[in-house]
Amino acid sequence: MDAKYSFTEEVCTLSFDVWDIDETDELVIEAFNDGTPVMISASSGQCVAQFGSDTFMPDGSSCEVQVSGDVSHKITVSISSCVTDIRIKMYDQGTSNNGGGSYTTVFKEGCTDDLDDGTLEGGPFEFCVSNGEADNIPTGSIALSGNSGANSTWVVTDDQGNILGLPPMPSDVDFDVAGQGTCFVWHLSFEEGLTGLQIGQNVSNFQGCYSLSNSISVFRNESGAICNVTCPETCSTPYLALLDGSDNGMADINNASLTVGNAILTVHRSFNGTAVVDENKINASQTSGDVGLRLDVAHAIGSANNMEAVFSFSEAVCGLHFEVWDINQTDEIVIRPSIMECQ
Amino acid sequence: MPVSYLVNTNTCVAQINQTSFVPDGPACEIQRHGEPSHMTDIFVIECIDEIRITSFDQGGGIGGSYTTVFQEGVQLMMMLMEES
Repeated sequence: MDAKYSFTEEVCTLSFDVWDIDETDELVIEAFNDGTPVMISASSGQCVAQFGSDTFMPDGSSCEVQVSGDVSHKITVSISSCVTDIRIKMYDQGTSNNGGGSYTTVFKEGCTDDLDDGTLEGGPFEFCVSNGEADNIPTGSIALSGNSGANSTWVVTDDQGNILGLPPMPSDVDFDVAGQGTCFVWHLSFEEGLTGLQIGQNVSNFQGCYSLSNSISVFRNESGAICNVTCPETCSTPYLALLDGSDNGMADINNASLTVGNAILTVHRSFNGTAVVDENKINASQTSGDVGLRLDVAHAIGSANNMEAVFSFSEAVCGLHFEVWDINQTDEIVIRPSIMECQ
Repeated sequence: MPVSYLVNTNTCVAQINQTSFVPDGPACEIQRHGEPSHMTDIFVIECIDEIRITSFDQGGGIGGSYTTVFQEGVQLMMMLMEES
């Protein structure tokens, strides 16, 4: 399907939502000003994958289900330039199970303010709940950037977009009392007159001028590993650091490598210890006298995939010192150490 | 729970928020291996049991890599995931 929306006059700083990107849909969203392409930007729900600047699909097979009004299948498109036409092309990529397809577009009529919901970074968060111990997102662990607008608020919803709370800050919410389930934390910018911003309402029913950010997941569990964690009574400190300021001097001993798609992780150094590939992971150990552990993570040329490497310690460590080398070309490296929440 | 850490970045590495590191300008967006100016040093004072390092290829498919060097004595289980 190819839908074209032409405005009677030039519209500037336009924002609109496209819902229900599901099943086998592929949507291409383009904007024009009198035939000249205009750049769009978009923030996507967790079940929407973006390819390039204008193409959107369900993010994996678990998202290829039929939904209606589910915020995780929604994208918010923002256009800071002036436009005269919007074109949305939908391709049904289903082959063996062609069940048709649909999407919903919601334009925010009469919005004149330069609203930007901003971008959230942080999380996801996981708590063991219903144990009587408060479970709050640590203060400052969700970073908001790029937001603008006359009014704003934080919004906490369930996984269906139903509003559970409008806290001053995400850290104010105690998830322990919410029971098992999944919450989403959002940031909302809006103009006066917005309706539907109430506990019990659904974010898909907002009426007015608003812009909703990406969401951060909060997983609330009443059982499982997160609820069976014993805090370490002591935190071991690694042996004295022998880092010499150069990774070049570390000879390759006990190599082991792990390939996932276009990405590869290689252990280059474990002097007296071992590095063993075990299906989808590498176990590496060292003993006193080693000079460190050098790990290379790389992805192939031609692959635009991002990578996440998870380093789990056999026991908690404190005072850890490590180096990250070769931050170059167009890399952005995000480093997040953490400790599992303890009872 | 996230744990904060101390950072000492060398000349070709820019820290753009609490946890993100990029080459410090076009002059540093070149391929290098083992060059100290493209290295950042991390010191985690508090207790941790996991480190996640996510690498975003902001160049649209020109490949990429980085190297992590841990001090001696750690025992690790490592996993790798691709993200779209």
